[in-house]
Amino acid sequence: MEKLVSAIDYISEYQGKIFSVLLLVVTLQVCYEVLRRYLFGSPTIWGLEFTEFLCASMYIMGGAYASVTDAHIKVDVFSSRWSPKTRALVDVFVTDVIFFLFCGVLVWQSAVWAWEAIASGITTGSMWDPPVWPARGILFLGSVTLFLQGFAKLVRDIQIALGKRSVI
Amino acid sequence: MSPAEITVLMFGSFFILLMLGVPLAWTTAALGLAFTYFLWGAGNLNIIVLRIYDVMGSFSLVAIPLFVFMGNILQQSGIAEDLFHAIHVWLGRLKGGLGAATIVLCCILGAMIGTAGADITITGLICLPFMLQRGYDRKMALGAIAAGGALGVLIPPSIMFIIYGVTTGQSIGKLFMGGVGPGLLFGGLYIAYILTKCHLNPNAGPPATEDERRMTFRDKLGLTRSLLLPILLITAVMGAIFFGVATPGEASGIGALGALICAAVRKTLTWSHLKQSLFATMKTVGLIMWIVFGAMVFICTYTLAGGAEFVRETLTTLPLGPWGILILMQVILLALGMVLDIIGITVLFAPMFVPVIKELGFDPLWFGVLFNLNLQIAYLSPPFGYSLFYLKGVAPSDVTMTELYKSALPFILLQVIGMIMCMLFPPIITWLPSVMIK
Repeated sequence: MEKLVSAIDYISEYQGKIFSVLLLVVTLQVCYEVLRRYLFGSPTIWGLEFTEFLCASMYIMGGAYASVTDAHIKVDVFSSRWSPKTRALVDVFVTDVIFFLFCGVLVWQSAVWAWEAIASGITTGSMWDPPVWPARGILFLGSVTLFLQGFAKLVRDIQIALGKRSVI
Repeated sequence: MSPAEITVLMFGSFFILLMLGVPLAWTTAALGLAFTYFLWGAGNLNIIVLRIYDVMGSFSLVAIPLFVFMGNILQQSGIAEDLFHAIHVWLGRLKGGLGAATIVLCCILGAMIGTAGADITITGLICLPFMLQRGYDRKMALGAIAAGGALGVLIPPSIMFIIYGVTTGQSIGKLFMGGVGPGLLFGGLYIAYILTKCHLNPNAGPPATEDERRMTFRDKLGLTRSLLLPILLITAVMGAIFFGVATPGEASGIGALGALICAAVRKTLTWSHLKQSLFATMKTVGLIMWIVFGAMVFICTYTLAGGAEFVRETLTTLPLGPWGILILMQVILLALGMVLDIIGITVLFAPMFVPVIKELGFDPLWFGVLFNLNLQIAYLSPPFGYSLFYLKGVAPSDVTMTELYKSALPFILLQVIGMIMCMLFPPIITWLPSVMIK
């Protein structure tokens, strides 16, 4: 179990770092687009949608990356006063339940949605008209990594609640 | 269920879960889905993918990762230290000059960095030790940094205005320009307060000695040269938006590339700096966007259930008159800001309040900036002033939360004065956007 949990951490961490490189791509791409528009008067037909797609991938994959360092915003004025054990108990019975409720539905719905796009081969209908499955696929991929990260947290919370893991 | 009951149930469970420490993003998304399920059945649960997909396909939001990236690169290049040094040499002779320099630094940093938290961390690390060493009044020093850092919400490029613009359909460029007036006004009020206080009580902020301010001509030249590019960069980015040359999304891309070039010229564009900037940006973007996703699901469910219409009706039929209702909304925002993250507030409440404002006949652009003025005050006010938490993280370990609250009080008062001025004299906000070239 310990190995699985650290493997999940590792995946969340590294996928985030890998996807962050897209920032450089987006920066150059936006500038290239502006350049083409002003100097040659001919923006690409794919630029806008491509930029959006790259950024969207970062939003989605950033979810698990922010989770692994516990960066998601929460009100911890009360919970920071509780003992680690109490906090772990509340997390097991409230936070993690809420999380799986939302993330479970998200994984399920995004899977259905991505599959629909792959099976039917629908496109965005714009001038460039790319297929929609990459964007929907990213959403599914990001949901799964987020779900896995939530699972790792749940395992840790249970261990802390049972006194089987010390809190640093 | 009637809209009133849904309002109580949805927001009631929302606040309870938040207080239990559930992250904002999960709370809003889960409640949105739960209510969708109970009201309309499992067939409508695809609301979550539809809402997220909307956000994914917005070109305006592209400005968020790019502006955050630009700020991180500039920050990594050590420009804040150089800036502070330069402003200090310039303002140091004044009593309280160091405090004034801190505020000026905050304003300039606000134009480079889109998030207030980063502002406070940097100025806290650079200016606070400096001021304390010089025997500055500790409360004034702490308050100046917390209040100055919160200016980042108002001074463009501000992430808050991008999110506000996207959720309410306002022009982000105009909101950016609308924030400039109040940002400078608030900064001016803080500086006036610090200088007056130190003039009356020189012990609160002793001037720098002649020795400290002396600099060789070569040093001055070097400093000016290293600052010239970044200052040019932020001027160019804002100028491009002001003159209608580029959309905020395009300007952010140019800004990010420019920041990379600045860092390269300053010889600080190392592999490790670049990596840190990329990773930090990714994390910030991840947490911001998931708050937006969650809040979108929540507010969409609430609106479909008739909640937003109920709020609009309730507010507009109150026997308070337009100004009374406006002030009530601001009080609500201030109260919310004490417990909620400001991005969450914007996505959840701006779409409900804007129709009311339009119906009452106020200028929606003016209200958009006012909205963020309120959030900026909330950012500083107890019990959950986020800027105070950021400052606590970098302040000496003997600084307590109570001391921080006390040090923020005079600045909160100044903010309220500033806000009243913006309400009485709308041109403070609306003048710059009105002369902007569209």
